[in-house]
Amino acid sequence: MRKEKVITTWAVGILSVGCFLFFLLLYPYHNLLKEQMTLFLHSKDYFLSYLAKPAWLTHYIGDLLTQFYIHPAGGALIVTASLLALWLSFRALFRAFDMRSGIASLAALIPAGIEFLFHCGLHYPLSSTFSTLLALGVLTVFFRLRSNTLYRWFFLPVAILLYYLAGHAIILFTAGWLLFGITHKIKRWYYTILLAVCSLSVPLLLRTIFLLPPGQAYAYPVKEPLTLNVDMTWKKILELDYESQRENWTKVLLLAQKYEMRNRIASYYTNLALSQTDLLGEWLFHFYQPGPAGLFLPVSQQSTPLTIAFSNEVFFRLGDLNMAQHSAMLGTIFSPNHRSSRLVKRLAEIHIAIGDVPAAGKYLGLLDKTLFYRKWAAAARELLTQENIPLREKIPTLDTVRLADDYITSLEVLLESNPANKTALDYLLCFHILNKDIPSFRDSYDKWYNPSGERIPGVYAQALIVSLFQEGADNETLIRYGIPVHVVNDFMDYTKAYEEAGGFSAALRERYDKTFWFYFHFATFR
Amino acid sequence: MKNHFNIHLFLLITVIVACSKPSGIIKKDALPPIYPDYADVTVPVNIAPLNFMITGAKGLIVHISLNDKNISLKGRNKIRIPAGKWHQLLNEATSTGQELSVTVLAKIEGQWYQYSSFLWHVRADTIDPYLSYRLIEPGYEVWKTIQIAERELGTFRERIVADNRLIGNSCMNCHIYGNQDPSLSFLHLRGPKGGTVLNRDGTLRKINIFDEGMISPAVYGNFHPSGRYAVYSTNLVLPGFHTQKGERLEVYDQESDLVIVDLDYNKVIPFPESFPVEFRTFPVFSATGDAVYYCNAPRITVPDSIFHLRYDLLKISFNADTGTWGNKADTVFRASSLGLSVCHPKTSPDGRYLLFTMADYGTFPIWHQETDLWLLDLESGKTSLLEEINSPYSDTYHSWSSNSRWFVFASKRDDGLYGKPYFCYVDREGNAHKPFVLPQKDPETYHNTLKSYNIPELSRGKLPFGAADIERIYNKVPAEKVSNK
Repeated sequence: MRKEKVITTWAVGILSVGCFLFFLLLYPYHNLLKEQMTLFLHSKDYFLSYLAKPAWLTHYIGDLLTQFYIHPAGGALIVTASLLALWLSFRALFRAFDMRSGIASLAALIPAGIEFLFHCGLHYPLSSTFSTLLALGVLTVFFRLRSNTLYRWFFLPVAILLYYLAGHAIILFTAGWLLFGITHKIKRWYYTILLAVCSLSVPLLLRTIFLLPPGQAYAYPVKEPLTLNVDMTWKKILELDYESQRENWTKVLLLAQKYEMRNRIASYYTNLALSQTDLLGEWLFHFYQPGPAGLFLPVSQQSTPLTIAFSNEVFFRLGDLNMAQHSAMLGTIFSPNHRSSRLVKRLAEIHIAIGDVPAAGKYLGLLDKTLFYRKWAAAARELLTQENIPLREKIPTLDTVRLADDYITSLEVLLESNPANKTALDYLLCFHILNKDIPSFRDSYDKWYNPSGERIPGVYAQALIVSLFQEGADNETLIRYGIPVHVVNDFMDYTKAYEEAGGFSAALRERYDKTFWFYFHFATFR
Repeated sequence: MKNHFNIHLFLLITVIVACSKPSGIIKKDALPPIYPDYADVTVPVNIAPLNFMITGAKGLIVHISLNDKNISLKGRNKIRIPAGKWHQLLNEATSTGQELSVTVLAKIEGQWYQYSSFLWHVRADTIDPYLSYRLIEPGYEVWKTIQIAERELGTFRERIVADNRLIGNSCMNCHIYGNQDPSLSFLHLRGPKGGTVLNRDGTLRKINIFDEGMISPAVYGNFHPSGRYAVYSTNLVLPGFHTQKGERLEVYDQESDLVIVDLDYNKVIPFPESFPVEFRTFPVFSATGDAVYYCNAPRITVPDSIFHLRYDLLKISFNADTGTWGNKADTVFRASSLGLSVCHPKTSPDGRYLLFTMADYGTFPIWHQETDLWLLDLESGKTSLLEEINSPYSDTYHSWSSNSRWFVFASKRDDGLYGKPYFCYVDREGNAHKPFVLPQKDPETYHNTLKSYNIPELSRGKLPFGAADIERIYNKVPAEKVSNK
C-alpha cells in the first residue's frame, strides 16, 4: 500500500514537473495570449460586473489569476497547480465511489489529461478549471453527508447556488450527485432523477436573467468553442506574434526560417520583421508568400477574432494610426471578454502618438487599475506632453476616405504625407509585386523610390527588369535604373530556362524559387 | 480609575475630532476638478443623486446646502449622496425656488484644499423618468455585443431590454419611441430572422419593412403622433475610413430615400416620384403630424466628393387622413449656405422647436468631432448654435422630454471616443442651460466602461417588454410583410 502511494506520488510529481516545463518552455505562448486577451481591473465597479453572470466566483478568481500569465512561469505554475488540484479532487471523488486507491489515481489522470488538453487551446479560461474544482469540492461534502434527507433536500438549492458561483459546474455536480445517490444513498432512484433533471434545467430557466443563449448558459464561463489538442501550428504563430511584439525581429526571421510555415499569419509577421530589418525588398521570396494577403490581415466580418487582434501591428508600424485604431478597437470587441490588456495598451500608444490626450487618458486610466500595466501607464503618461514622438512623423497629414481593405490608397497617402516612410514604400512596392501588378509597381517605383546611389534591393531589381523588358528598354535605361549586371544575366538565364522547361516549374525550382520571376510564373492565389 | 477612564475618553474624542476636521486648509479660487463635471448644472427635480469623484484625492468632504439645511458627506475620492436626503433636498429646492450650494474640500497630495462653491440649479419641470440607449463599443462598422438598456432616471436601476447575444449576435439598431410613450416604440433587428419590432400597447409585432422599389430595409425613423404611421429613411450605407489623424470613420449613403409606412395595414407609401433623385434621410414628423422634416442633399459621387456633401433641412406636408405626401418641399434651413451639413432633426413635442446637429459635411455626425447641436425656434424662425452646451467633440443623437423642457443627447466630450447621455434644460425663453451627464451610482463607471451610450431616448414610462420577449419574437415569430399596393 505504502509502495503504491510512493509510486503514485512520484508519478504525479514527475507529471506535474513535466506539465510545468511544458507550459514554461515548450508551450508558453497560449498562456501569454490568454493574459493579453483579458484586462483585469482592480476596482469595485469591475468586480460588480462579474455578478451579472453565472460563475461569477470562479470567473473572477480565474481572471484574477490569469493576470499572472504575463510571466511564462506564472502561467505554467498556475495551470500545473490547477491540474494537480483537479487530479486530487477527481481521485477523492473516485475513491468515494469505492474505487481502489491505485485505480482511482489512474482514473483521475483521464479528466486531468483532458483538462490539460483544454488548456492547450487558444481561449480556454482558467475559470473553467476552477468551476470544475468547485463542483468536485461540493460533491465531496455531499458524499460525506450521513443524512439521506439532507443529501436530497440540500441538492437543488446548492445546485442553484453552485450555478451562480461556478456556471457549468452544475452539470458535473448533478451527474456526480445522481450517480452517488443511486449507488449509495437513495433507493427511490426515479425521484433522484427528477431532482437531477430539475437541476440541469436551472441554466435554461435562469438564462434570460443572465442574458445568455442556451448553449452558453450551460458552458459558462467557457465562451469560445473547446479544442482538445496540442496545436503546434498555433504555438508557432503565437511565438512569432510574441517576438514581434517585443520587436525581436531577427528572432522572428530565424523562427520563420526554422518553421517554414505556409500560413498567412506567419507570412504577415515574417514580412513585418523583414520590413523592420530593411530586408523586405531583398528577402521577400526567401519565405512563403500567399500573395498580397501576406502583408495585411483583413478586418471584416469574415475574420477570426485573433486575426483582427493581430491586424493592427502592421498599420501601427506603418504610421496608419486610424486603421491601427480601427483594428485594435475591433480586436478588443472580439476578444472573449471584450477587453484586452494588449489592445488597450496599443490604443493608448496610438493616441499618444496622435497627440490625443483625452483619448489616451481614457486607456491609460484603465491600465492604471491593473496590476502589471500600471507602471507602463505611468511611464506612458509622461509621453503625453512630449513633442518628439518618432511615430508621429509617419501619420498622414492628408485626408481622404478609403475602404478598410484599400491598402494601396492607405500606403500612397502615407507616402504623400511622408516620402521618407520606408516601411510604407516597401509595403507598397511589395504589394504590387505580390499582386504581380508590374505597371503599378513601376509607377510606384518611379514615383517614390529614390535609390540615391545605393544598390537596388534584389526583388525590386527583379521586378524592375521585367517592367523594363516589357517596354523594350535599352542598355542605357538599364544603367540609368542601376540594374546590377548579375540581375540582367540572371534574368536572361531564367528566361531561357523557362522557355526550355516548357512552363513546368520543377526544373526551375532549385535555382529560381526565391526570385520574383519564379513567383510571377508559378505562384497561384487561392 | 474613573479619572483615567475620562482622560482616555477625552483623548479618544480629541483624536476623532482632529481626524474628522481637516486643518491647514488652503482656499482655491477655482472650481473643484470633479468628475463628472456637475458644477453649476441645471437638474430636474426627479433625477438620481449626482455622485461625483476627484481622481487622485485621498479625502473628500462635501457640504450641500439649501438655506439653513446642510448635508455633509465624506469619502476617499468619491462622494455618494444618499438617495432619500437627495430627493428631499431637491423637492425643498423646487418648493422654495432656491439653488443648492455645493462646497468641496479635497485632500490632494497630503494637502487639504477648499474650492470655490458651485450651484445646482434645480427645476420643477420634470424630465421623462426613463431613458433607453444602445450600449455598444464604438467599433465602427462591425459589432459583437449590443444591448439596449432602459434606465430609471430617478434611481440607478438599469434593465436590459434587448441583447444581441440572444438573437444570434445580429445587429440591433436604435430603439425609438413615439410621443415618448413606452407603449409605442420600435427597434430594428437585423440578421436572417430580423425585422422591425413594433411595440404598440405592449403587443410586439415584427415587420419586414422592405419592399420592391425600396433601397434597403427601414433605417432612421420616427412615429407619426397618431402612432398609425412611421416615416423611415432607406439607405444604401457604406463605411469609409479617413486617413488623417483625428478623423476616423465616415459613413455615407450611396443612395437614400424616404418612405412612410402605414402600420395598421402594413402599407408602404413611397416618396413622390416627381421629386429629383437626391439624398434624403433622417425624417421626422412635425409635432402635429401634418409634415415631415428631413435632410436633403443633391446627389454627388461618394466617397470622392464626400467633403462637399452637405444636407439642408427640408419640410414636406403629409396628409394623415389620406396617407399621402405633399407635392412640394420647402427648405427650412439651408445649412449648405453656411458650409455645414444638417443631421438628425427632432421636433419638440410642443411643436415650438426643432433641434438638430450640424457637421462640416456628410451624414454621420457621431464621428465628426465638430458636430454641434443647433436649435430652430419654429415660432420666430430664429436658428441658434447652442454654445452653452456644445463641446469640442461630437454632440448629437438627441431626444426631447415629453414636456419639451429637457432633451438628452449623446456627447463624446470626455475623450472623443465614448458617447455618454447628457441632459439639457431649455427654459421658457428658449435658453439652453449647462448639461449634465447621466448620474451613476459609482461615478467611476464611465472611466471603466468601453461602451458608448448610443442613441439615448427619453420615455414617460417603463417599456412593457424585455430581452426574453425580443429573443422570442426574433426566433419564433415570422416577420409580417409590407407592400406598396
